[in-house]
Amino acid sequence: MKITNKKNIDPIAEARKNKHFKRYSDEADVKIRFAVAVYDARTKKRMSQQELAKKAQTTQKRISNIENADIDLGISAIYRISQALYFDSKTLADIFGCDFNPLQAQSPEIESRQFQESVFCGKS
Amino acid sequence: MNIVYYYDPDLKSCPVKRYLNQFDLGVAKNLALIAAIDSKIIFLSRQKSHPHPPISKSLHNYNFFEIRHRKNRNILIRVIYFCCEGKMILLNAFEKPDNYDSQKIKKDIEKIFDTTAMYRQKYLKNKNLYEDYK
Repeated sequence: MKITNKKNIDPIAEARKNKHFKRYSDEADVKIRFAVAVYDARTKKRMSQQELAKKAQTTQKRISNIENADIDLGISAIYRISQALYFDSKTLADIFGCDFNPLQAQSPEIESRQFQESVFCGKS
Repeated sequence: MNIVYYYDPDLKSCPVKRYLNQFDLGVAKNLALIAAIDSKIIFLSRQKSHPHPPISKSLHNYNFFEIRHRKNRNILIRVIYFCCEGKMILLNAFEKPDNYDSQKIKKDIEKIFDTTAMYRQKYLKNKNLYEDYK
């Protein structure tokens, strides 16, 4: 019987073989992009986590977890934080990996429809 | 930037691999956790400056950075790394309670940081002490 030294197995290489790994990985990437966007916008506005929490009607601990890319957020929390930090459509498109075409942004109807299609139907 | 695991010749293994190997990948929660830590490591390897807040932070009195990841409500995972000659070297990983007051836990964590500082010194003396991150 082959003896394997578990200490030397690469756990990440092993995890990558799992068919669900990519989905988890993609979800983690979105959390990281949101975390970085929140941190960058908050520090640019010289806001503390406490101040942002108050503005977005949440707690400082939750903001800290968001900036650590540690939690799954609901739509309402994303909405409140995006509003509090004045995220534009390009920032949101970058976070969620959607295409953004500034020329079409002149027509809010088209922009909104295309954004929804790319988010909900996976079209790009 | 290339990502590598620090290999310790005394332990005959990589401390970060050893820590991550405790997770049973057959459990969906563990697979998601490994995927999230991997995403943070890859994100950081693409950055020019380190630490890169909020994903990595520097540690007072030490020449390395930490990546924090929440394991559950009360436990935080900390992955320690540093950068040298175009490589991102994963030195050590451990977990700690999120909020702690006990002097004992503080001392234990300091001990881990001291061990990690020793790993860094060993690597700097022999830059072949690594295994590839695949």
